[in-house]
Amino acid sequence: MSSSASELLTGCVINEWHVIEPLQTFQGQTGGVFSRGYIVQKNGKKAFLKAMDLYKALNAGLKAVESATRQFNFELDLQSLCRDKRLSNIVKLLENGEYDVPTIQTDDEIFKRVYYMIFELADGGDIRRELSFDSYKSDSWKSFVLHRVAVALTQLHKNDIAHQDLKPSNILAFKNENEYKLSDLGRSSSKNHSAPTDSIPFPGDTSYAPPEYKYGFIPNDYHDRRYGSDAYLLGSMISFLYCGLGALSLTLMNLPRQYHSNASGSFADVLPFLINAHTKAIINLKPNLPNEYREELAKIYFELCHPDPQVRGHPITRTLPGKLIGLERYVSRFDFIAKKLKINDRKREIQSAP
Amino acid sequence: MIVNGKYKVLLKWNRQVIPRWRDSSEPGVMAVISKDNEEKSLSIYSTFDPEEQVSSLLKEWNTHKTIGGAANILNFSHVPALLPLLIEPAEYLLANSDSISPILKKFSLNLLKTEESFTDLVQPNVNFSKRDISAFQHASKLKTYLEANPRDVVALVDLARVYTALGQNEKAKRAIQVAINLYPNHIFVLRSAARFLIQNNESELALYQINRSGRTLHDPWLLATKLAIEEILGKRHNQLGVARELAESQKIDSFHLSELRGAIASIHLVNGDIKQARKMLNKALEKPNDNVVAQAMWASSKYNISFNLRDEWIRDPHSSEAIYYQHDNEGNFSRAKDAALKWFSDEPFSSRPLKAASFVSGLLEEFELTETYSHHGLLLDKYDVGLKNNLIYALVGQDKMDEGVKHFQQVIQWEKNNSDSFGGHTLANCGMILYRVGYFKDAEESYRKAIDIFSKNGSSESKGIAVASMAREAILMNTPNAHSLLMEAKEMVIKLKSKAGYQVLKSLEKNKLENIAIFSEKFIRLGSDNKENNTQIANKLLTFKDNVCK
Repeated sequence: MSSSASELLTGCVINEWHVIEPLQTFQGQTGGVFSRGYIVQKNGKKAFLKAMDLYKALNAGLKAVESATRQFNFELDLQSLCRDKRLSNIVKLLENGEYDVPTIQTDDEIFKRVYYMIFELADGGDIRRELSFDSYKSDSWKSFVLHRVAVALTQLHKNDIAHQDLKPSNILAFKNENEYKLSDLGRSSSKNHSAPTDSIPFPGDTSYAPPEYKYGFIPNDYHDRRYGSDAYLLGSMISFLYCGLGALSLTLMNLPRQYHSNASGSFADVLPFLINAHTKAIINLKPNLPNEYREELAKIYFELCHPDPQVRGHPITRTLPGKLIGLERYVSRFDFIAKKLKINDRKREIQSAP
Repeated sequence: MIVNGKYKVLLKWNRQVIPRWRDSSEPGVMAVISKDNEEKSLSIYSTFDPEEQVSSLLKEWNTHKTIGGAANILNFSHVPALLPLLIEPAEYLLANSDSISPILKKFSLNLLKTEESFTDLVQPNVNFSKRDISAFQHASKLKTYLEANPRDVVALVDLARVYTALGQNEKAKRAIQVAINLYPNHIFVLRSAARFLIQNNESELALYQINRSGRTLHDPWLLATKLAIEEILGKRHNQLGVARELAESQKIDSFHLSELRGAIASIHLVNGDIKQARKMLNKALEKPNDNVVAQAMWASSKYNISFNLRDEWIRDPHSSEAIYYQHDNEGNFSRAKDAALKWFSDEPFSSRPLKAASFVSGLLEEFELTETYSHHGLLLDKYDVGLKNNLIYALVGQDKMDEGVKHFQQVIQWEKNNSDSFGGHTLANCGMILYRVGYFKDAEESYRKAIDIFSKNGSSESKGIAVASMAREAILMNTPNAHSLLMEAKEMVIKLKSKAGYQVLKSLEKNKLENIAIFSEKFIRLGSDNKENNTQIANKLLTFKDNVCK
């Protein structure tokens, strides 16, 4: 058999969903599970189908089968929970199930069976498509995106889920709804669901990872480790949206080479130099932030992306019992900033109108 | 003629292995942090194949090129192996540089350049006016960091270093105190604080801070600092046994033990146990840092301990202090001066490099430079007798007699306040001034007293300089016994094998006879014109000289 079942879905009809075309750019390699993305349509409504089969996993051995199954079930559990709890800023799971591909000529069901999840389709793609740095008008949009992402993260955190993989490609634009939602819970961590990636200190994309993991330091506290990472990733989106670089890149850019490696010393030894680089990063970042809220956004970035995982987050909630990250405090600030900047945009539009 | 710095540099200057204090951006700062967590190290990349990730992103980006997509890919730049894959998106961003943020433009440019663009080496700068300007600019930048983050301890320590280089020690101390309160156990903070406090004549406080850290007894770098400070203070080494045991450790890389071994060797030297000192110094040199190499070079010249100098030690960009000792020992004073200036670029807060530079430039009769170096050295350590004497020598050498005498009177006061005894080079300076104002007999008497002091101290180099200088002054002033003094000096310099003394005589022979004649004529004419002034100067000095020489 040259192709696996999940690669042969174009033209199939799955529970009245017509599989239109594969999504070439879909990043399907997660946790060793091979999955494919498709555009599907039902009653004129387009959606996104994520399909997984066990063909390649079987070739890789029993462990791979277990891993693939666990990964798929974990994601399905979390997405079902998000749907049931009506988490508005998490991409919604519409359907899920199994499907046997009829074009595969074999009696062995395992080879023609596909496990799938169907999600609402982001018509605007992810934020990388929309991102630009050449117009003040985009400032309000960027703050709006930050607000929606912060809302998404707090929705997850309230349900004991840490996303762990917040990055530009996972922030999807729903143009019709004027909404931005967070996708891909495949690398999340949940207090109530055992995840295949639970043993990995930071399962998300390494290019946006908090710096402690680069130096082999794993915070002991669950909050610092999981929700703290989400806070860092949220702060990282401030710098990405306003200057194009995530916090890790911005910090390392300001860190002398000798401190880049974890070849000597411990994270505690490197930490003051990382904080120094982080301070310099703030100064680099500031000119790129919207004039009216430059100081406040810089302060938020400073707190969210602080290299010390024990300090990271809101300084007030960090000193309260439980030492919570306090992400909800940033939600209201992003909301305020986004609305104010939007008003400013309108004022400018009125002033420039003939 | 003055017997400037040499006496101070090579004899009284009891060098200890006190920590280097470099700007945090300087390569090598991190090297002093011992590996103690290798087993804990964990790569976050173990579950990922970043190359596959970037390849996939590139494939996606190539189908629909956007600025956001290219920027996203550049965030992988912290994985060095991936840099070649990032060239295309970086070039794309630069081609659209009008539409990207300045910081993304800078990042893309850095990515397309060589690695050097990331390193932030401090270039040697010995232009003092420019140096101060750049120091103030650096301080201003560091203050900006501290405004943004008052708890930025690295900026605090770097700022303290700049303040110290500018002679603003009170401000430096405040910055250091805040730094040490924030990070009382961090090795960079502790070693920098110790160096500052020693520099600021607060070695007791330096020792207190080092002792207070629970890390000291387990960290060879901090233990070395502790031993060095105790040695400066003349204190008993209660932890010498622990230090010896740690210095013999087979588990720790020799590099991390080099300063500790160097510090133990210094203790043996002071105790007169040259055999043990040599043994420990050779161990320290198994894998030394620049501080230990400089210590070895210094010990070599003072205690005549031989060891094989390796080329790689001298090639180290931070080895300027060791190179200074090397050229000074070889009698290559011009190169020694260059090395001293590089050393000053490395340690702009320390007066020692300037003392060394003013000493060798004095030997080379570059009086203006000697004046400049001494003057700037005194800004860093305003009560340094050696620097003050070098300044006097430079001033008198340029016929700035009144100024020279004013400083000379200050030196006498300082020495009197300190110990009520006078150093050889103060007496030699006295001799030089008295020669210049025509009091030849008193001048010679003052020089001979200086030579006597150097003989008693066993400082043959300083003795050689004093004898040669006395002859030089006599020749310049055309005294009746000038030629016999010159013969005496030549014999003495050969006998003592004094390279510095030879340099003085060489300078004298380089000046052609007619130049000397012109100088003598000019000086004697000036002297006759200022007879009253000369008498006043002589009167100021003669009481001092008579008291010391009687």
